[in-house]
Amino acid sequence: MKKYTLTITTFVLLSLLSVSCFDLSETVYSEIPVDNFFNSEKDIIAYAGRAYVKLQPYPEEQRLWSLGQNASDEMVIPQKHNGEWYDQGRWEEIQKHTLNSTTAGNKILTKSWDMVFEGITACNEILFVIEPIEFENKERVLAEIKILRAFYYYWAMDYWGNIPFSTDFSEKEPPQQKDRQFVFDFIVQEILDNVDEVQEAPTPEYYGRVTKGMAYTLLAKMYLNAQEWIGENKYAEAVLACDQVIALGAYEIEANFSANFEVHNEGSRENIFVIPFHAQLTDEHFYWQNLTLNSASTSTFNLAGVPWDGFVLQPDFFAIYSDDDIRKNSFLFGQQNDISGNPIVIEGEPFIYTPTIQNYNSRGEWEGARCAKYEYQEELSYDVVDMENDFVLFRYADVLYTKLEALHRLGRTSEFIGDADLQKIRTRAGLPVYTTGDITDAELLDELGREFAWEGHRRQDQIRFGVWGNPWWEKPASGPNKKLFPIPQSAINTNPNLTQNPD
Amino acid sequence: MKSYSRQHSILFLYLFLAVVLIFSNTESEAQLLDDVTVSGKVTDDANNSIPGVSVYVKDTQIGTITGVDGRYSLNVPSEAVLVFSSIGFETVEVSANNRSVIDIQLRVSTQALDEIVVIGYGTTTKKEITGAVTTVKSENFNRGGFNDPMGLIQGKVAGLTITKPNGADPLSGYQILLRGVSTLTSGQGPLIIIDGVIGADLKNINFQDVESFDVLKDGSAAAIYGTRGTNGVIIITTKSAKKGQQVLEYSGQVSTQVAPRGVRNLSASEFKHAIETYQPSKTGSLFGSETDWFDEITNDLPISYQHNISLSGGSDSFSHRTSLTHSTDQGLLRDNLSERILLKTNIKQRVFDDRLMLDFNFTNNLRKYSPANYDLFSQAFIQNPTQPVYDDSDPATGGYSFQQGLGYYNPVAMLNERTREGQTNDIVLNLRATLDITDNLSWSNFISTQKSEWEENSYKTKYYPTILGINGEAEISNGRNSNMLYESMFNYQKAVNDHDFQVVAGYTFQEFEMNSSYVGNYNFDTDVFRHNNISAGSFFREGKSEMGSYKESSRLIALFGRVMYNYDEKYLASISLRREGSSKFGDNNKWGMFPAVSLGWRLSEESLFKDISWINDLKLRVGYGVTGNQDFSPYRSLILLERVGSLFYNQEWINSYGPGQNPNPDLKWEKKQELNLGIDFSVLDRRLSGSLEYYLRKTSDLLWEFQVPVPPYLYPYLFTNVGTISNRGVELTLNALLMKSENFSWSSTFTASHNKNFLDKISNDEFTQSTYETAFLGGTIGVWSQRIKEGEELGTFYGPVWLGVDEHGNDIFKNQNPVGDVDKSNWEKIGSANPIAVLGWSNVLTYKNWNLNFAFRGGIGGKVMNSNRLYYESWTAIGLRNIVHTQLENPEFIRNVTYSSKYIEDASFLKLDNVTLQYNFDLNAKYVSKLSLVGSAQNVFWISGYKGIDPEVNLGGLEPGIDRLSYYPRTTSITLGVNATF
Repeated sequence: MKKYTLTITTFVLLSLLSVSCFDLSETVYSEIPVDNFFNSEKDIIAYAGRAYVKLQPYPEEQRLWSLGQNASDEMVIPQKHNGEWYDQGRWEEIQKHTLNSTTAGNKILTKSWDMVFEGITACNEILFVIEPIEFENKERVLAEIKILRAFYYYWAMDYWGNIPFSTDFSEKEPPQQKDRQFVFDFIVQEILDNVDEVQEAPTPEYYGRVTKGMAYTLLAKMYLNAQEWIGENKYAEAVLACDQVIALGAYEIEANFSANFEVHNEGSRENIFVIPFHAQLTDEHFYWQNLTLNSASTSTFNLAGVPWDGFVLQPDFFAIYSDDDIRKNSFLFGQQNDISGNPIVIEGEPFIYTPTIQNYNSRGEWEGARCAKYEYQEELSYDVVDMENDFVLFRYADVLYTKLEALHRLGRTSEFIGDADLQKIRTRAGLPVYTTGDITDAELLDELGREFAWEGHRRQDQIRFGVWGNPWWEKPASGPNKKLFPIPQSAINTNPNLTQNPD
Repeated sequence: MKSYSRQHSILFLYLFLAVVLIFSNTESEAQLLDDVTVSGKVTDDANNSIPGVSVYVKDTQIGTITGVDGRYSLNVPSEAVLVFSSIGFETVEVSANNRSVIDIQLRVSTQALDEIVVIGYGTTTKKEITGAVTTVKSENFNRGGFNDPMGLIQGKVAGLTITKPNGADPLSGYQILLRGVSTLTSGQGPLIIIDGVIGADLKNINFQDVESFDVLKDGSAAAIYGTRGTNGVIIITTKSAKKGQQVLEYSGQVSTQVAPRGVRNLSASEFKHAIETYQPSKTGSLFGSETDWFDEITNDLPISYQHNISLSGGSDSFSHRTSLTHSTDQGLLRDNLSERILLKTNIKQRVFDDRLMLDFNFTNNLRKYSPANYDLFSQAFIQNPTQPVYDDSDPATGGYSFQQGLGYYNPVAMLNERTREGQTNDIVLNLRATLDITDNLSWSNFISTQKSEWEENSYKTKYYPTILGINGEAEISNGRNSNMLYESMFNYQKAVNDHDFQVVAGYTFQEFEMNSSYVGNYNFDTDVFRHNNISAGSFFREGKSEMGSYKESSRLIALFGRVMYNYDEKYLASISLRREGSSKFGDNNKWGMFPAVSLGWRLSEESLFKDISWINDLKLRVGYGVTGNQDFSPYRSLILLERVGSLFYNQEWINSYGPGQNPNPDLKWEKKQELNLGIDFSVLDRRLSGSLEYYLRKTSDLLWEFQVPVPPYLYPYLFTNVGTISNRGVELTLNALLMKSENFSWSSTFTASHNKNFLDKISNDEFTQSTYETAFLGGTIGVWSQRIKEGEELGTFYGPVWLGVDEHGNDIFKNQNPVGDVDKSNWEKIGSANPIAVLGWSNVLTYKNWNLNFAFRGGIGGKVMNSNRLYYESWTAIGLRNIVHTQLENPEFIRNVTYSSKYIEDASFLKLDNVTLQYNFDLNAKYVSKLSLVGSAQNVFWISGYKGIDPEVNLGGLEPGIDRLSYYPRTTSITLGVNATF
């Protein structure tokens, strides 16, 4: 009996001693409490790097790239014959420019906005956290993050115009809405203030990062669109910004167009700013094979997963390519061959992608040309093996064409038309070089379309050239207010300072 | 599985025998004194014999039980004091005095009112209770076999809804909901306390081991459990060691199930007829076979059995009870089974002149199982009935017929080409030491640990239809949960003249820990390894496999106290307070106060009522209490850095870290305030008794993921406290002895409850949105079917109002636009999932040795979304896939399905839950004192206008009232059992 009492007493005493009686602090095992981080330089890079990681969702099915592309004339997602890809009409709203204050709950619209503003807030938060810490190359890292934030704001003002604006993470109130003029000035100033701190030469160490080339390309694009965005003619400034990139001497036009989009395109001397992807390591995925290919293409590319068959080339757009244009091969059309080059026949029918589509509300299985601009590696399977190609945001051809367009608008085309690199863009496509007389608004818009198809260019170009409201294929004419997307309903609901863009 | 069970059964039998041997020697001293045989008959005041009365020698384990004729016979020491006790009667002690015949008349216990009611941290009596507490003791339990003990009180407690949303799945328990939904995202289940272990797991007790349930319904009763009291508290007391009687009991059941198919699809011939008649363009989908897919994946008559053996006995100072259960449940789905071995021991010992009482419990629950994939039933439903099961033509599919279709897979292949096995091992240990410091003051310390280990493995062969082209997929996941509880409390009781006090004060500390890990791999050269050689798959080497692990812990600490007072058992009062903190709360809100007060007035003790002879007891109660809900995952308040992706930095891929959520340092518990008014009564010589409750409960600071602006927030959602929900309702409980004669009696319990739910507020200055859409119906439907809206009930369906079908076979809707749709702005309220009233009626009839129990349950007024009709009731859905039979009955509808009130059906129902017939044998055998045979049927039939699977669907959560496509069928089970006492 004494033994029992002893046991009990020991039990009780031990348990009283071994626990801290009123301690309610949480013990964390599988995450890192914020106080235990920042022990090394590497930690700061890992932390600041989140600003770049937030770019990775960009080319996914339901994010910013998809929103802009599907609203433009180079892409469409019709409903399939079996009802797939109708998705409660969300793609149709985008293609037909019927997004407005009542359809602002559109999922793609919301996820695009979230992606951009999570990027902006991540930059604000990173700057807030790392500014008080001393570390090597601090000024450069801060400058990079600031220019990257300016880049996110560039997206935000391009798509939505009037946006909530904040640069201070410690400010806890919902931000005020700022117009394009304000944001434009901020972006330009932010680039100019920080461009001298960032890396000049695009060394392998700085691959995928903000460099001078990236900063000036962004600046050039700001100035090129200034007329549309803030009503000011800044084409001369655009030319100067392009010249800054050219003067770096670091970039050249690749002899082979497709070199920029290969699985291992990190060797391209033309690409200025990319989002690097890894087949397994990146959490966000690059999976255009799934978006665009029909399952019958599996044997062409030796895919491991079944593709989803949704994103196709808008039929009218196909017509702007001449048959000689090598860039037409960015798309799959006609008889498809298997990996060893033999024509594919399925249940007795030759597997042919037709660039035409009979019925917007009932697309046939193999209707619509498909995109193969980025090379598809073998054994692709969503979330298992994803595309390893690095996604190109800015490339040198873009800089040269920006300069050409700005000069054209200034009436000074002839100053640049003979530039060897500029001519190389045409010759590598198998086409004759331009003469001054060739350059008209219509030709320039078509050429930008052919060169940068599906690269996330088209919406901006169509707006700048004033054809955004025109009808094409199944899309009816749309009003000038459609140049801005509505602010998603979730953002309107949560920030009382926001006024919806006019329908 | 079989060899495992045999080995373990044998092992446990040995263990059990060892325990029996150890404890049985304690009785030997007493037996030396035997020298007289006493026999006699025990009767009640109407001279009816009373079976089942315990007759034992005081302070020994010598004892027996009266037979059906009320007779007993016992060898006793000549000077022994005999004790006669039986539930419902007053206990009598008689000296043997060398008599050989002792007949005893027992008086009906004045009161069922002296019945003990277990409340938090103590007990009281039925007459003194001031909170809304319902007690159900074993004699009032539902009869039959249950794999979850909650089945024992289904329909017995007004306001407590116990349903089985997952039908006959042997691994799935009941869903329990008390007084409506009072939370948005936190846990909805009541707090379960088993033998003092707070937050215990119901699967760790066998239904035969339960002695009583005490359900603390209102806030004043539950407030003593602070942050966990909001959804009510169910206190389960298991059968424990009893002195005086040595009883060996055996109970065995065997049961089988027959499956009523709630919803019919088309048979092969109907399908062929339908395609040829109505959809001739789809004759390509006729494959020429006749397959009953449901039949292919189910067992015809699944057999389950259960054995339970228990031994108890002991002396005043040392007693024990040990119970061993072995059960095997075979599911309706092939290869779905569960096998369980449960060992439970309770030991009580008194030392230091009974000053110190030790109460020790040990439970080990070992379960092996093979879980069910509910998707198989929906696959079987939509599978083309003219498609054969097997097709040898394509070697890649392993001999199964395969048709390409999105989300369309051969369920037989899914069943045969995947092995799943799981096991759990739960060990619960606890010890309570109670020291009587003085006669009035005791100090009790309780320590308990509950450890649960689980593992689940799966292997899909290369022929598993969703992974064709990959050579097999193996998965292993496992984990461990633990729960450590320490409590220390003082209990003081004092009576001064007519003033009675009972005071409790204590401290409690509880810590929870959970960890888990997962590994998956693909592409094996052979199916031989299954999951047992997981690195053999090639995905590891190619860097494509997945693995993960996680660990979390949380703490609860509280101080609590309560004073109960009564004056002359007439005026009653109770005041309690708990101050509790949870580690999960934000730094600014770690601790909360949970007060309660309740008062009672026993009118029947007033002279005015004492003269009214037909009123035996009448009590008014009022109570108010504050409780909390902290049932959400830990760390929600903190800034935590986690891996947020990979970054290409300086030519290598490095991990990037950042905050993974919006921190919320203000995060706190949901707070519920509840006012309860109650009347308890007992009339007509106590033949009719019952209670009536009215409650008003208001939950504020509702926890939800609210949308927030980015910036300033990092992410678009913040887990925070906004808004209020209220529930108000009435509950009626009636217990009646309808008939009573010498050979026949009929007693009945009737319960009825009504609850009305309102979402008062879901917005404030910061979060201004007042309506949210919920209950998304995916796939081809693609709409939100319910709205969470201020001023409305949770579970309110919104949609187009359906008026009928026009002559062209199109739906006609109210306010339809030119295209034939209804704009969302014209959607109306088209039903609420919440029933207006929930009813229960259970009966016990005895005639001589026969005993018949039956129980009905019903619900009035709830609406259910019939998903099977919504998705499959159209000609456009037929083709590769089968459709629901009702389409063939109304073939004129030819359009695509559009979500509307057409598919919202009235789910009022009446269900015969349970019928049990028991026969008790008259035995005068030496070794067997009691023997009874039981036949029972459960879920016998239901009557309802509802055309879906079962009118009783999940009513919890934010999306109640939706009959899901993935389901496990409900069955009628038939059980035969034997109970014997030795």
